[in-house]
Amino acid sequence: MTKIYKQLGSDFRKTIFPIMSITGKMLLKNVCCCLLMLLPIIASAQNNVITGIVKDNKGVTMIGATIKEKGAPNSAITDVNGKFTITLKKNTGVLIVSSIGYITQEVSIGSSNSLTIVLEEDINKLNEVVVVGYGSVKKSDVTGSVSSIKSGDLNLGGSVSNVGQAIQGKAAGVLVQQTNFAPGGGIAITIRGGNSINASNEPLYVIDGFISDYGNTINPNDIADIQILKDASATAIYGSRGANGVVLITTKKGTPGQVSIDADVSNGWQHDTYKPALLTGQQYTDIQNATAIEDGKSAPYGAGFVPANTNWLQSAIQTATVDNRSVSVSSNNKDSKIFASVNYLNQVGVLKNTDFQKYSARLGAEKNLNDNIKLGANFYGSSSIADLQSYSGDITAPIFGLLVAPPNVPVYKPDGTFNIFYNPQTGGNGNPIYSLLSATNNTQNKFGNGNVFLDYSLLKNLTYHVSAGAEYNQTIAGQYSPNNSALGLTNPGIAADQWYSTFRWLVENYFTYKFKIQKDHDFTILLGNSNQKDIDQGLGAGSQGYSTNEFLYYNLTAGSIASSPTSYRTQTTGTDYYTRINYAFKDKLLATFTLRDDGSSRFGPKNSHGIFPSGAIAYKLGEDDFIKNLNTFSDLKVRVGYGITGNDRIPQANAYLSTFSPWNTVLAPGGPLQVGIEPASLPNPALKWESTAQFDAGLDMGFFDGRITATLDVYRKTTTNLLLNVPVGNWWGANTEIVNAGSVRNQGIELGINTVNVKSADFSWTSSFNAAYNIQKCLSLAPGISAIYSNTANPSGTVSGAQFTKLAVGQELGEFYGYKYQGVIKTGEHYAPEPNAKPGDPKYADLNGDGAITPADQTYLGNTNPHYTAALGNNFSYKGFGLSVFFQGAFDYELYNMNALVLESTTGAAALNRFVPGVNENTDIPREGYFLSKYGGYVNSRFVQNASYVRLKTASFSYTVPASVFTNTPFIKGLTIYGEGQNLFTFTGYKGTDPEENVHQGQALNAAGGYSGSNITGGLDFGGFPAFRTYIIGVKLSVH
Amino acid sequence: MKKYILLLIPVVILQFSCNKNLDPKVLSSLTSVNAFRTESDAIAAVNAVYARLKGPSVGDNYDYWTVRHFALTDLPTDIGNCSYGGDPGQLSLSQWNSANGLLAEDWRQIYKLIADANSAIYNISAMTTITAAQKAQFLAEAKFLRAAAYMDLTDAWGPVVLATEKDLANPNYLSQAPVTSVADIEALLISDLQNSINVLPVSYANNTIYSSNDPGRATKGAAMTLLGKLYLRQHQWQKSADMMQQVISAGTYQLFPSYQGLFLESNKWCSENIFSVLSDANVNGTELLNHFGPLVHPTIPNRWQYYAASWPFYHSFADNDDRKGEFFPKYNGTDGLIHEEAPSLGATPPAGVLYMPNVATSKYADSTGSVNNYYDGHSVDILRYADVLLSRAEALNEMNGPGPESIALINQVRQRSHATPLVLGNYTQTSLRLAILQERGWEFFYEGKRRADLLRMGQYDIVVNAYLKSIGQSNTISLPKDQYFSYPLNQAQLNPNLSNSGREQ
Repeated sequence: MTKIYKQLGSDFRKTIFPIMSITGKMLLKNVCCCLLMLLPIIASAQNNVITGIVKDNKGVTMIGATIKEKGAPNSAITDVNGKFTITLKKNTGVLIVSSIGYITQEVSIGSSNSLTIVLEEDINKLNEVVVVGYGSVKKSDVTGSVSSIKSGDLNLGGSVSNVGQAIQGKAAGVLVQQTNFAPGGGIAITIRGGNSINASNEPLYVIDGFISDYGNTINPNDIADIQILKDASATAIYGSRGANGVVLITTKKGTPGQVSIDADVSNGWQHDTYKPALLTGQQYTDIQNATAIEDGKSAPYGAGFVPANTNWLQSAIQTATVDNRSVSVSSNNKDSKIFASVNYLNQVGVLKNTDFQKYSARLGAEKNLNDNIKLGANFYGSSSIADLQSYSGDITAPIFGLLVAPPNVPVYKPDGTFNIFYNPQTGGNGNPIYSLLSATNNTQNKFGNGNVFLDYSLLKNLTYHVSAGAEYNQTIAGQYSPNNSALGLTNPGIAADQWYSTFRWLVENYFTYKFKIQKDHDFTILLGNSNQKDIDQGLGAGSQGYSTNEFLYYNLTAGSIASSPTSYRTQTTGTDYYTRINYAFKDKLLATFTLRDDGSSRFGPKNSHGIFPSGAIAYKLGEDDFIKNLNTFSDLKVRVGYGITGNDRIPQANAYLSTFSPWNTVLAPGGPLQVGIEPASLPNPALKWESTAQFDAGLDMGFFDGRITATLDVYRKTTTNLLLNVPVGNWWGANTEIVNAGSVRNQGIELGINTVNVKSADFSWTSSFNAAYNIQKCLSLAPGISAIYSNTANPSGTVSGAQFTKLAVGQELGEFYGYKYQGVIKTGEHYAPEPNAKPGDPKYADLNGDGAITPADQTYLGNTNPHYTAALGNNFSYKGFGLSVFFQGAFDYELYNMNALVLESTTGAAALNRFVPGVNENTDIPREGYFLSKYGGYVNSRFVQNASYVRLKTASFSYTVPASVFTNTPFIKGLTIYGEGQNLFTFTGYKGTDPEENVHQGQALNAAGGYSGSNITGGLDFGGFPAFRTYIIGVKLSVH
Repeated sequence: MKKYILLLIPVVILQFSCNKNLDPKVLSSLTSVNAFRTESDAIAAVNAVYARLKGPSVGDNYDYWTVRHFALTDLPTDIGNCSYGGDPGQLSLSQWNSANGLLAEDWRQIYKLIADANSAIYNISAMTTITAAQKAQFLAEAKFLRAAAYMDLTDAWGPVVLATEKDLANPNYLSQAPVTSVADIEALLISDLQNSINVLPVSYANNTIYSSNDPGRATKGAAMTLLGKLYLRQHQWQKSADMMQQVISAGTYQLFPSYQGLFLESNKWCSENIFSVLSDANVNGTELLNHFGPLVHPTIPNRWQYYAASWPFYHSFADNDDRKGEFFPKYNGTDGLIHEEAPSLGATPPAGVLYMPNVATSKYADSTGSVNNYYDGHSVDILRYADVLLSRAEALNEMNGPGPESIALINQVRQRSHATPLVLGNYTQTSLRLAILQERGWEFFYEGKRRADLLRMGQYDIVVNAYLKSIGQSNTISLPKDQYFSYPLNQAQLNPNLSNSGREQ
């Protein structure tokens, strides 16, 4: 590290010395503080040279504070020891001292040549500048609903590998759900409830001004701050992409005035938290025999059978490690900023043969070329590899195989080889441990994006910004089942390989013009244009029949039977224009109007353009005397906004055209395969954007000089022209047609509170709390369509998925739909609606009273959307010690516990309590399994379980070694040792895998970079990756 | 002034970066814009209709005639038995309802073929780049396939939505289409099949339109046989008998000498085949062997015994009947257990024995086939010559009672399998009807005929209820409620015209 630092230092000298010689007076402006330490600069003791030291209110010296002489152009920056030297030009006698996050002070010089200046922390942060999309405004001037999260407030470290995990619970109204807990597994973010049924509900990610499709995947450690634009007046500037909210990410550019090298090294351990009660081998054997006889069949295990006692799940679980390594180098001075970082994450899964490794690197730089031109660039690249990520919530997930494997069968034969056996639950021969360990299922990802920009002050108050960027994402996924594995046995060795990539280029141009009319009317006008092109392509191939397992999927020609290769390429383009007018009257009344016209080739020629307007007004009541006289508010602002935004993320690029795809066949013995072409989708030339109209009203409040700040928002948004895959009669040769129809309304309320509870020299305690409520309602569907259903995954190899959610007018998305379970039919009991039922069969409610149980007796059983979300964080610091405790929860929702359903009829301990005529009749569990029942079926209220939870998401403890320890070490600036626990405790009544598990959730980014599923299919807990608890210890080291 | 000139820079960049054209670039999809231009486009459209008789070329190939259709035609009868729970188990015990996934799947697959045929007919009709002879040939093939699919669809569900190429001119996909009566659908099928009989060649050897001899394509004989079977279903005995006689008289077809040999994977096509789904284990395999093959069998490993036969059906064969040899009633499994029938229902097996709930058939699982492959290359005979013979015998019996010709036709089929010939004097019209029904069961088990045969002869409830009772099931089926399957739940939900009132169990 020292070596790196020295090289850097010498480079700086080379570049900076010439500048110094030319413009000596610029010296202090240009030289970064570290060089001050290295260079033998001695300030001469002239009258007009002032030296001093700047400290914060804790007495810690401040680096990078700016000292300006009032009314003069010269300035200085404090060095690493908080010291500065400034040569006075005008001798006004007053210095202006400022630093970001502190209250700016004017200091009278007086007679002293050596000053000690103490800056007060600016708690209310209203003077901070926040990014709002194509520009930035002072936080106090924001007219829309924006949540800000600073890097220090993010969840970082351990198994956190994406932006979604980093912001979970940190902003009101932003719901983060994990589609599964697999290393590198999927994440879904929904802001203010889902608008769409079929298109993506994921927000738009904008990283340093570049619209990225992979913003969620960037290294969260590189983030300086995140602004989440939630209401339409804030997001409408993104037009057809703004409807789901916008996550604006600004990456780090270093701390002003500093060169520093920061390293963060942590190691962690993960422990499985899913431990279902399972049968022993003997119990399983007895139950299998007993239930077969109860069902009039022969007992499968004869008298001589000696059962093993295997816990398949435990055999597949391990205590796994997660290691994080981060190093960053940054330099930030008045004219240039640079930040470079590298990160390495290695997460081994708690399920064996699963892991995720990721390397990433970032470089961000800005340079003022002269007073008028600023040039900047950002580059990010990452490479990751994940093993075995097939937790799609169906019977192909390895967890399913482990859960249903008979415990009376051993993992290994006496000779130590894997015991391959027939499992009727999966419908094949195998051994789930061997399947888990022997299968190769890799996903390798390479990702890069970069953009360069130029800010050019063309005229006074008129700036021109141009940025151009590109993004490339390539995924190579490969699978191999060896020729001695269960699957691979059928055709010795099965290999498949898929390559796909997305490419985007994006050019943005905009002008910003600021002017005043008279002295009270401030205007800022933005006018811009954006052009985008996306190219998606992919290639897939596979083969079977291998003599060796050496190749995995790297040599497809070695297989004797080739699968049909697939490939595709699509290209879409967009041209957009946008404008925004910001108006302020006396800095009290604020107004923002935006208008965007988006054109996209994704939609038919008739509807390729969409217009998206918005407007918002805010009034700073806190400036009015009558509010000031209340002595309650230190700040009070009321905001009202309305706007229309769109959602252009339709599943296919050419959805409005009818397409044809191959369906080949042989028509003679021995072939050949003859090409057949059939219609693949139904056309809809009138296809257009989904459109969301949102009203938002908010209050921003400050109390006790900003020690308490609170934001309260209410909103109502209505999405119309939903891109609906409307079911059509199969006689059209398709299951659905994509149309614009129907509407969904979301309305809710959000509250965010930040408090500084205690603030003294040694001890501080701050809290942050947020809570949100959202309720959704489907207002209409397509004409003639009364409802849209979705199916569960197959609960076994031979039982099909059944309808389990229903979307109808007046309902929310994701309502469970099935039969009302009323208990077990007892011996001798005759239940008229189920005339052929046997004792022990499940009894379902005859809701329509027609005397028979038919599909017409299904009803709504619960909802998969958490209606309430809340989080509470507390940070304590005492001298060098820090403690942070973060709770997060979601309430008022249900999950479908399909694991319980499957376990009950296979290997779960619940089978012990099943109904047995005359033996065990006082029970809720039917006679044997669920699926042999003629009536009703397995989607019923018994497995719909309340999933509300409160979770101790993180608790961390840190100790920062006092700076005084390093006074004699020239390079070390800070050292912090920390320990952290993630997912420590969960308070919930939910009995499934985890209340956050939601494997069947729609709209997760699928492997091909598109979105799969639909937003009405969520809430299924089935075969997902086990949840886990993580413990981390780590060290942070800063060097300068 | 210089600054104002600099303003030009952004203007130039703006100009440079604009996408003026938002027309789509369709790089890898055929769309309505670029399909149906040439003869090969037309042939590909027709080929896809054939391809829809089964699954995709590689991967999960168990659609329609390559497995799943048997869930509707054979499982809910006295022949088929599935010991797996859920959808197939419900059908096997005649306990389906509209939520049954296999019903929904077969409905969807059959209609997909019909929709592909409609698209081909609609688009090829409008083409100007092919000759009149080509156009007539392509349309006749597509209409034959569509007719075959509508036959299956109406067998299962009776009145259904009649979708034809006419609906594609100005489609309203969201309309709630009316249901058309079986008689009206049959009227269209008769006219289409008569057209196909006139246009289609006897065989594709030296065909002027296709360069290769593809026996998998529809022929004149196939169209005649299908029309004859349609007349039989309508109880138009004379028309059926005449049509079948035309097929017999043409001399194109004859019985294959061995019943077992007829179904070998290596014998994909022979003189008995009139219309079959062909496949190839390597390039266009099916999963017939997976679904039909025996469990843990020493020489046919890794199969599922999913679509199996009932023990009572197995025992109904006479021992001298070759067709009884098409089963796996007892073997030493790779699990170390002897697999055999239980001596009585619910018996507990002794050590080393496993009692099989049903018996696997080798019809699509012969040991000389692709037993070491995941996919196999069995053909499924949708129309074969034995059906022509037995259909004419049935029509003759229905018109005139037992006679020497009908007995001779039946005995042709029986003697191929070395079964004892029938004697004319032993039969009345009624008893010969039942004998033909039983003969058809023995001859065509798992060939997609059984449920339609039972219904046509009015024996569905009688035969199936007797069978259910014999295996200890208390439930029964009743007519007319169970004559047709419930419409698939998702389809009934979106189109109220598909009412399950009176047909839901």
